[in-house]
Amino acid sequence: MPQGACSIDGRSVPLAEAVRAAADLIAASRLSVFLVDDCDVAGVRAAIRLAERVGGVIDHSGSEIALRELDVMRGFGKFIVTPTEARQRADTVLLVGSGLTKIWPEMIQVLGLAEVPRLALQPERRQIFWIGADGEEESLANLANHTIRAGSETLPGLIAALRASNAGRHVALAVSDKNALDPLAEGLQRACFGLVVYNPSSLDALAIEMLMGLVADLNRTTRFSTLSVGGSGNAETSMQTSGWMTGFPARTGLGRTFPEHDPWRFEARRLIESGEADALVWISGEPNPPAWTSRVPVIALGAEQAGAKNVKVQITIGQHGRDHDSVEFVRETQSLGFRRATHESSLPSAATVLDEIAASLSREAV
Amino acid sequence: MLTCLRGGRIIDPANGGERTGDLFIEDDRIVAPPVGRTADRTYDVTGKIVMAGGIDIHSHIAGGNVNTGRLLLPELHPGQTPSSANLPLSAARWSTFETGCLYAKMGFTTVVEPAVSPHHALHAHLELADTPIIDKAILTVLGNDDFLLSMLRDGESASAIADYVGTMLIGTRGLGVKCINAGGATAFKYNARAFSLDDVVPHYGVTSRAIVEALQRAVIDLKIAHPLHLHMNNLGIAGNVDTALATMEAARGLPLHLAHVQFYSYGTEGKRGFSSAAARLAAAINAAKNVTVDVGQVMFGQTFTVSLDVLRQYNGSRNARPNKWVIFDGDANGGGIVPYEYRRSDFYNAVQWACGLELFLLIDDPWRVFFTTDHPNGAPFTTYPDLLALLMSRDLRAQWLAEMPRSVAEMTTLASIAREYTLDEIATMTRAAPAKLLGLPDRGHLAPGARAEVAIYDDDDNDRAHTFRAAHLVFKDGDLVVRDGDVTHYRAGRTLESRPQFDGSIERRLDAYYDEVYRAPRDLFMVHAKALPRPDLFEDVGLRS
Repeated sequence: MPQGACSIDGRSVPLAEAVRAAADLIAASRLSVFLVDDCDVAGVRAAIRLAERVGGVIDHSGSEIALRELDVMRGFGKFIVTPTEARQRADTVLLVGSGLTKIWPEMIQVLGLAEVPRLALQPERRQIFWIGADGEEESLANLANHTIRAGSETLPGLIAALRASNAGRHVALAVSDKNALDPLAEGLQRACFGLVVYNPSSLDALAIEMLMGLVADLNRTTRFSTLSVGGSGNAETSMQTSGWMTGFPARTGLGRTFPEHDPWRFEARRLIESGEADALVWISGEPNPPAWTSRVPVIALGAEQAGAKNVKVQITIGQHGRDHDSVEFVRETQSLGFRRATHESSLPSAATVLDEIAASLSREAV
Repeated sequence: MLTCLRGGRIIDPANGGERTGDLFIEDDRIVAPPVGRTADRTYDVTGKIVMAGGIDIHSHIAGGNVNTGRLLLPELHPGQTPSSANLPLSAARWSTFETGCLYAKMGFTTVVEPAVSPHHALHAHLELADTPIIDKAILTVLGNDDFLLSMLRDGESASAIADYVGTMLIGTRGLGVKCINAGGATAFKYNARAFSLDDVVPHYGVTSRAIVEALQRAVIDLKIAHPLHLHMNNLGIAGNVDTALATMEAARGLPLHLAHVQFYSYGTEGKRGFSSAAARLAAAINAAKNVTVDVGQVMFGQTFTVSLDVLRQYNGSRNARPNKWVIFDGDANGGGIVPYEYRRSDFYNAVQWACGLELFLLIDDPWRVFFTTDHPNGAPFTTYPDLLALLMSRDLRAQWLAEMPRSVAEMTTLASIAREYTLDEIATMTRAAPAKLLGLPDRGHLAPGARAEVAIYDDDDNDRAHTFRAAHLVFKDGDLVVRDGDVTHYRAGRTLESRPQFDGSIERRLDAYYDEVYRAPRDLFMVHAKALPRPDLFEDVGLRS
């Protein structure tokens, strides 16, 4: 197997030795946590298979946002549209929250916010409304026909007021606020195909649910759907892969040989800080593991490490989609897509290394 | 290795029906009784039923929407029992691993995932790769895609459309072509709330009928073995038997498969305006020899519905049990996931249950009616044993009917039907006929040369559900994978595909289209074998001669 830099306690070693040390560490641990932060599908599959073997836990650093969104779905429901459909159809766009283009810099282009929707029956420039703007993101502000500024504290109330107003209910708002909101509610109702784009980082689950409620109400008379700018795309890769393999998203434990999903019990950080877990397999492109991992030895698969003390074993792996072909969640298509290697190299993939660790465990078991 | 299954009751309708005797397996094939050789291993299956491995032509087991169902409903599949060490994740309920094991346990060895939109084909194949033991295939869904609708609007030739269908089938590694509410999902994006055969898709100006006819023609011209697999308009609506009858007429005598027809067998009689029209539909199916159907039987209990008929799923979301849903306006079809609990005490659900059984029992020819629950839409596939028992026993049906609202018996003909399926008819419907319909000549029967996919059941005449719930032995490609109802080990199943010939100039045109419309390389969506854990598991089933 080709290799990049590998080390044990900072000492350079061949890959095979690093793999063996990783297997030993996992075998000796009471509970290993697998944090699949930067993995393609193959990497997540290999991590889940290995976690199943050793009774470990699967989590992703983006789980908080991913599960916030998922909680809305599994508690209420969701309307979702692909960016391409949105770009081609949406004559009305409601932007919700701030930081949209910071999280998704290509958003304006991908959603074609400055374009005329190709498949609209009467193609005209889109009506764009924005609630929860914070005065930044100038390029987005320039496109919006109507903007209401709000911070994270007032935005949920604003969404609720918008939903109530849309439903024809009385809204207890100051006259000036109501005057600002009314044209927006009317604009949404005039949509032929409306799009809500929101930032889940700036909304709590209840506010997102309120937004879905608004969209559900609008769908009684017209068409509307939503698109989240999301957290990390790779959280979605792990959610999908874990979904078909275990039935559940990340924060799933395999210690009892059948999967158990519990967002609190199987949170990597809590498990490590509480001392329940005593080893971390960390697959990431970051140079240093988070400070909260300092209590446990870390097996780091990813970019070359900056030398954090608790990185016991370090194995440099290739970047999926760059060093090797990969399948991963693609935000632009909202599906798993095939990425050809842009700079093919001989660095091993996460999946290859994890499978080697599993094989090393087998050999020792024999 | 030569294996002898000694003394079984062999039910093999494709080869003359029933006989008692020995069956020989050499490696992965059925062989003629060898002369002058002793078997390496012998299983005494005296008194047991021996059939070819079961084939399910329509079961939603993989793909983005199915996965959304898993994630939507964690409370419905908590873990309970431990996995055995050699069957990792087999106890992960609703996982792909469990799916493969549960099918194998019932003696099924081939399953078709019938609804994969092109942009989720890679996802579906990844899931199928993690579905052990059984062979799998997908049907590629077309008929709401902008490219096809634009071709029809622009009056492009049948051969150009066939080229497009051919390249989409190959790019998605599909076995056949499915169409789901032709044009309806697109019309829903233009706010249509109902969409019938002669309704026009806004913007494109083409009717649902024209889309179906074009796809049906393309499938025939491309010599794809499996006829167009059609999910018709107006699923689940009272009075929709008229849609089914009109769609059969629209087939113009050409081959057409109609999916889950139970959901289209409804009349409008009675005080609730909902009745069974299954007898009428069955009579029409009996007369239309070009048409095959699968039933999509309803069985009672909790399930979730998953469909690329997003219009229908949106309309159905108001009846979600529990009350949550996902409505996905995806590229082309999109989809909807709506949980549902069919209740025996619910008049509508009970009529649906009766409609399905009426269709099974009133369609004469078991070669043209296929055994499905449209998993999970009518019921999970794990209800198959109970459904088989119902088909084989009039008394059992009467017992079930007695527990339902009395008005159900009045709105259906079920109580009057005496027919009981024979084992030969069961084997036809679940083995021989599906193999023929899908173009798999070496499956579904037990003649020498067939794949050694064999299910052996205890012959319990008093409890047919028990017979079919857990096979005594199951061989997959000659490998014993189930013993006494338990899966013994994993093996990798194949993925069946069809690779039609077409004019390759369509590729350049499609590449340019993807660059312009999706602003992404078409390659992103293609199913490359090397993107899968095992690139070597595809099997080209060939074309119709």
